[in-house]
Amino acid sequence: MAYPSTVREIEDGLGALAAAYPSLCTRTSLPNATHEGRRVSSVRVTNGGSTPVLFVGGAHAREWVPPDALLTLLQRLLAAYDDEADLVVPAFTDTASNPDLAYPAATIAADDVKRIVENVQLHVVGCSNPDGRAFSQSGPLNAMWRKNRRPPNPGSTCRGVDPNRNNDIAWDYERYYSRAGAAANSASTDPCDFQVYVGPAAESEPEVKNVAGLMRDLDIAYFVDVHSFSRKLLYPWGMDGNQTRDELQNYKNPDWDGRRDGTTRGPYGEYIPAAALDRHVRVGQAMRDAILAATGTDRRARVRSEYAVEPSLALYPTTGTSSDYAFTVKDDASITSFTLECGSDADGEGGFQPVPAIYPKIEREVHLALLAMLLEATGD
Amino acid sequence: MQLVRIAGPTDAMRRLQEVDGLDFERTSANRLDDDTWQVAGYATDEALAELETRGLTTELVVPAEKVAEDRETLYAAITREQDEPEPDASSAADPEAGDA
Repeated sequence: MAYPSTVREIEDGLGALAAAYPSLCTRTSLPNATHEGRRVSSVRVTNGGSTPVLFVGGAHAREWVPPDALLTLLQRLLAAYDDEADLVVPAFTDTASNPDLAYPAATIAADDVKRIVENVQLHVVGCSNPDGRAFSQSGPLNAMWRKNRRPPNPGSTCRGVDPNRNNDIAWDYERYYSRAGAAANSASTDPCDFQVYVGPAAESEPEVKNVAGLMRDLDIAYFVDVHSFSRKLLYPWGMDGNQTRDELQNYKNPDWDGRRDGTTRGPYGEYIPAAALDRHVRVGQAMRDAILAATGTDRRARVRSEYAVEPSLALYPTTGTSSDYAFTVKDDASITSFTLECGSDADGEGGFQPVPAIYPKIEREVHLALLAMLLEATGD
Repeated sequence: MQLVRIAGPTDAMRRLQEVDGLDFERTSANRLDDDTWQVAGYATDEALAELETRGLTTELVVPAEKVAEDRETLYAAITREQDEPEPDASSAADPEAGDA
């Protein structure tokens, strides 16, 4: 496979899987065309499974690895199941390291592959923001484009909304936070903000409607939004620090409007039930451990595959994100929701846009983490 | 534009969004000690100067020349036909229209 894939190659790849495995993989065009008229595909992979899991990639245009990684994950999963064989994540040698750095092959047993496909209903949106990706890939001057391609308002030339700030959760952040909290929030109400414009209304964007609509329609149990970069597995909340004691401190409670500060040390903390917090830590650690277990004996490989399991809020609060929204789709806090930030600025991994030679290393991490979550979702 | 790591005290780091020419990755923020954080991002020369003015420290991870070289490699790899938008979004109203 040639890296990085274009939008057409991702869509063609998903279509090819549906054609090759018609009894296991179905492809659906999501209902909302993008601003530039593109259709976004979702594929469903299952053989009678019932636990709905949703993986999404490509929300941020300049993060080129996640759509490729999701496509290759599906290729490996379907091929292994169809062949009744182990799923093998191939060995990889990083020849840019000195000396070469070898990552051994990793294997998911055929029985586990079978358990996944026959117990889980896996849905994947490979590239949720195709307009943005196509623009980012149109030339080096556009490489850092992050948003979608929403047309400018009349009298303006500023395009685009950040799809990962447009979800209907604390979207109206200037009401939600104190002045200091709003200033620190990684979001903007300025349509000319190059990075994090929240859009004209919550869930105004077709890319967000598609994914949020899937979350609701599928009644998801597990969700991962794959981004890059920072080698992290992030769980809710991104809006504020987590706390497990006071249910009244929650994003829906207007009594706290204007007083939340988006820090881990302020008077307000976003409520997360202790059981849900424990579950996220446990699943996140399983995903992290799956990556680490495949690093072999070279200590350098282990160091370069250390993913941190953390709440999404660290220094900068965020609102309107897909993973926070996903966690709220059911009122009982039963959904397990992550943002997977794959890759790194370090070790030749190139930040948002690694060179093709290092893709297999980052992809294997995505695959191993997501397969660990899928095994968790089988319930065994 | 170079790939850098930026470090400094909490208050100053929470205002990085104000710096023109800096594209940093929010989730790369790591606490170094009680009141010091580090993030990674892409910065122009002007942004680096502004960061210095704010008393923040920067560490070069990938120089601008290497970032540009890597981009050349990537865009050369994207030699395949670029995707074209559907001619008419409204013509594909059937949500199942793309089923293979």
